[in-house]
Amino acid sequence: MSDSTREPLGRVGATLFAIAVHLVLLAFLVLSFRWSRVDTSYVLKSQDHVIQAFMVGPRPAPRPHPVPAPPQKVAPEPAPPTPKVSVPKGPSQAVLARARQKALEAAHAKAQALAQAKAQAKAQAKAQAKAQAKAKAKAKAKAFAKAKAVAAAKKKVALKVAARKAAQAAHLAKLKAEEQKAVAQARANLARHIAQSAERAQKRLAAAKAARLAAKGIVDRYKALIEASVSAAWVPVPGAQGLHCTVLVQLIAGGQVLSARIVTSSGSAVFDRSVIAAIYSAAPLPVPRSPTQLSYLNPLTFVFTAPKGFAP
Amino acid sequence: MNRLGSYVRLLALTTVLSSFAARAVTIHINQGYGQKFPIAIVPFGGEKAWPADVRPSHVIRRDLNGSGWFDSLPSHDYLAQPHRAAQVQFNDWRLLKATNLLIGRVRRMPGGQVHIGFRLYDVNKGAQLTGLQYTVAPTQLRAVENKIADIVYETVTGVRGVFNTRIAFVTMYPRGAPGHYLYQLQVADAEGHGVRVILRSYEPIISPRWSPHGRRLTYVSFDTGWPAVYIQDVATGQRSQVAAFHGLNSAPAFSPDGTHLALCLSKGGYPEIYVLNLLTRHLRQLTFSPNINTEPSWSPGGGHIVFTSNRSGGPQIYEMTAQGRSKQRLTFDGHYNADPSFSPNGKWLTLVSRRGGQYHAAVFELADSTLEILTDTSLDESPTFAPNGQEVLYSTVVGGHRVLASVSLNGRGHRTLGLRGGDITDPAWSPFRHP
Repeated sequence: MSDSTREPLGRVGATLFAIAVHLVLLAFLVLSFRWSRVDTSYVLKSQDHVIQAFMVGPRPAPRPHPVPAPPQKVAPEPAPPTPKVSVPKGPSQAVLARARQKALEAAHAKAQALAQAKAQAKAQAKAQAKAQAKAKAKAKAKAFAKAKAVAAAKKKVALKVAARKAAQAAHLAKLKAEEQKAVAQARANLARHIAQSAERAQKRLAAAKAARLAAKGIVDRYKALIEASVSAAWVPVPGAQGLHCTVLVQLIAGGQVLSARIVTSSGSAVFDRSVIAAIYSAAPLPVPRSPTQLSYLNPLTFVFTAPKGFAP
Repeated sequence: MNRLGSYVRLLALTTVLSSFAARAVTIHINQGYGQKFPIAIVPFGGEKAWPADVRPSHVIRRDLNGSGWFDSLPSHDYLAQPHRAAQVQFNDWRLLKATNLLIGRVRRMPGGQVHIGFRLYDVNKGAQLTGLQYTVAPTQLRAVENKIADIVYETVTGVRGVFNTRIAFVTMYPRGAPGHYLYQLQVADAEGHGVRVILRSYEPIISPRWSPHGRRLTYVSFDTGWPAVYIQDVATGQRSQVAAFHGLNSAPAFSPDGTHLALCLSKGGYPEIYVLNLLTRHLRQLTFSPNINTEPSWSPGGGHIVFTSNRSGGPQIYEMTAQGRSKQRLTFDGHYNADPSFSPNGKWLTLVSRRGGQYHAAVFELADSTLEILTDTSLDESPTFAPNGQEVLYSTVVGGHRVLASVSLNGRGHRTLGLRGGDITDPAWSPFRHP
C-alpha cells in the first residue's frame, strides 16, 4: 500500500525535479548571457561597414599611374580618315597627282607630327618614369629612414621598459624586505609585550596578594560588621529548622543594596523572603569607604542557616 | 613560540585566580536577632464609614501587632495612601523599610452586604503575594478582618494565624456580700473581642477545656454545691453532667479524638487520674499512688497523658501512656512545676513553674528536658498554647486584678488582653476552627 503510493509520488517528484532543473539551467543561461554584445547599434554600424568593404575590394589599390595612357589610345583615332581621303572617285590624273602629292605631304606631315607626338610622349613617359623612380627611391629612403627611426624608438622604449621593470623589481624586493623586518619586529614586540604583561600580572598578583594579606584584616572586620548587622535584622521564621539558602548581594558605595538574589533556595518561599527582607532591612550595610576595598567585598555571598529555634 | 605559549598560559591562570579571589567573600548567618517584620497597613478605602473598632486597618493592625511577629508602621509616616494596585509605588515603601504592604477597600453593597478586598505585597521584590475579596453580612466584617490578618500572618511567617480562633475563660465579679461573686464562663475571639457568655453562676466555675473540634466545652461547676464535670455545646448552650462522683471532680480534658475525658476524681480517697469513655460511660483509673495526681493533659497523638503529682514531695510533671503505664517523671528543675499542657506539635509543654517564690508560665522541651521561663510576672496560672504553638495564654495578676496575658515564644511579644471588669481566670485556647 505504502509502496504503491510512494512510487507515483516519486515519479511525479522526479518529473517535477527534472523540470525544475531545466528551468534553473535555462534561467542560468538566460541570466549568464552577455546582453551587452547583442547591441543593435553595433549591428547597424557593421552592416554599413560591410557594404563599404564590398565596394572597395575589386579596385587595384597600388596602380594609379596608367591614367595618362588614354591620350595615347586617342592618338591613332584620327588615322582612319586617311583611307577615307584616298577613296575619292578621282576624275583627273593631275588632280589625282596633286591630290596624291597633297595627301603624301599631309601623310608625311601627319607621320611627322605623329612621330613628334610619339617622341614627345616617350620623353614624357621617360621623364615621368624617371621622376617616378626618383620618387620611389626617395620614398624608399624615406621609409628606410623612418623604419630606422622607429626601430631606434622601439629600442629606446624597450630599454626604458626594461629599466622600469628592473626598478620595480628592486622596489618590490625592498618592500618585501621591509615587511619581513616589520613582521619580525612586531613578533619581537609581541613577545616582549606578553612577557612584560605576564611579569606585570605576576607582579600585580604578588602585590594583590600582599594587599590582600593587608586587606584581609579590613575584609574580615567588615565581614564581621556586616554579619552582625544582618543577623540583627534577620527575623527567623518558625518551622524553618534545617533550612538554608544562599544569596548573592551586590553592594554600592555607602552600603546600599543594589540587588539581592537567591542563588540556592531553601525550598521555602517564606524562609527565602525572610532572608531577603533581612538584607534590605540591614541596609545600609557597614562597608569600607574606599571603592577598592569595597570591591573586595563585592559581590557578597550570604549563606543563611535557620537557627535551632523555638518551634512548638 | 613555546615560551610565548607558557606566558599566555600564566596570564590566563593569573586572571582566573584573581577573579576567584574576588568572589571569595562569603558571610554565614546562623542567628537572627530580628524581632518583627515591619509592615505598612494602609487605611482601607472607604473604612471611615465604619466605627473605629471594626475598621479593617485597625483590626488587622491590632491583630498583627499583638501576635508579636509584626511591627506595623505608623500610618502618618506613609508617603501615599494607595487603595488600588495601580497606585502602589514600591519605592515609597522601601524608604519606610517596610517588608510588606497591605492595601484594600471596603464598601457597602446595595443589598446591605459588605464588600471587602485586600492585596498584600512583598515590598523588596515589588510583587503581590496574595489578594482576595469577600462579600459578607455586616456582622461578619470582623471575622473577615481577622481572616485577612490570618492570611497576612501565614504568608509572612509560614505559620497559620490564630486570629479567628477563640478563647474561653472565667470571670469573677464581686456580687452581694463580701466574698460572694458572680462567675461567668465566657468565649471571645483570640483578641478578647466579641465576648459571649456561656454560663452564669453564683458558684465557682473552673478549668474549662475545649473539645477537639472547638464545638463543646467541658468544665467544673459548683452549681449543686459540690464540684461536678459538665460538657456544654457552645453554639446551642445544651449541657450535660458527665461526672459527679463523691469528693473531688476536677480538671477534665478531652482526648484528641473527643471520645474520652481524662479527669481527676477523689472518690477513692486520694485525687487520682481517671479516663471516662464518653460513649460507654466506662471509667478507668490510671494512677494508684497515695498522693495527689491531677491536671491530666493528652498528647496531640492521644498516646500519652501528662499530669501533676506530688509523689516525690513537691508537685512535678509526670508522663504515662493513655493506658496508665510507663509512668515517669519529666521535670526536675525547681521544686514546683504544675498544670502542664501539650503544645500542638507534642514536643513541648507549657506549665507553671515556681522560681524564688514567684509563679511563672514556662515551657518545657520534652526532647532535651529544658525548662524556660516565659514571663516576669509572679502569679501566673493555667498557661495554654495557641493552636499554632506560637503563643502561650495565661492568667496573671496586674494591678491587683487577675487578667489574661499572652506571651509569644522567645519573648517576641507580650500583651494583656483588653478584657474589662472583675478577675479573669482559667483561660483555654480553642483549636483551629474546622469548617
